[in-house]
Amino acid sequence: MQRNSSTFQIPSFNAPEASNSDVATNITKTTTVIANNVAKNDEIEGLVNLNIDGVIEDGQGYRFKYYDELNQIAEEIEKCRSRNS
Amino acid sequence: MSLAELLGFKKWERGPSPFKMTLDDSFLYSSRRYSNRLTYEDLMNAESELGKTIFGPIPVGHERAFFKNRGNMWIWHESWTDALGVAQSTTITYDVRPEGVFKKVPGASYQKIEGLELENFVTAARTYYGLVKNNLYS
Repeated sequence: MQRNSSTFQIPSFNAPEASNSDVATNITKTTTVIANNVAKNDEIEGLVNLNIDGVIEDGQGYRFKYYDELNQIAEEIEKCRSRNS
Repeated sequence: MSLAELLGFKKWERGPSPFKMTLDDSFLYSSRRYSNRLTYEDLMNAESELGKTIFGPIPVGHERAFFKNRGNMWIWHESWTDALGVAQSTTITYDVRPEGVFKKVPGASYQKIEGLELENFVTAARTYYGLVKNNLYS
């Protein structure tokens, strides 16, 4: 299956991805391996602490409309992990 | 009952896992740890087993992972073997920042997501939180 990674998007919910022709893969990666690879790639590409073009820090505490909710979700998950590990 | 038991780490001693959702047995049996104490990484793997179910059926031959990484970063990974027998994979990183959600694909720069893609991401995060809270940490 050919994919254009630059246009790869999170799929619609409950919409199975096409392709019945793919051969079964034996690749199994843990989240840790995946996360480490992401960090490694970012390091190679020099994208850690990237300054994103087009983003203006206006000092007014601007938050996009979902930020507070997403941030709270992230914090709650971290608390759950901390309590259970 | 401990979380480790809920996750089925002693499944062979205590019978079927009472875990509310059916986890991939390969995950349960492949763990290197059989103690009652789970690591941060164990929990992240368990969350991903739930997270990968959010987007519907996984195509035959695909491996999928969707999980919240450390901090405010989310990762979606998918791997498969194409018709030529070549292993393929893609890892998408979503970085949540006050200015927006930024998607990063390998070899490309960060891109701010908007519109339906943003809505889908937010829905995925909400669903993920509900799944892990109700099935893993309840």
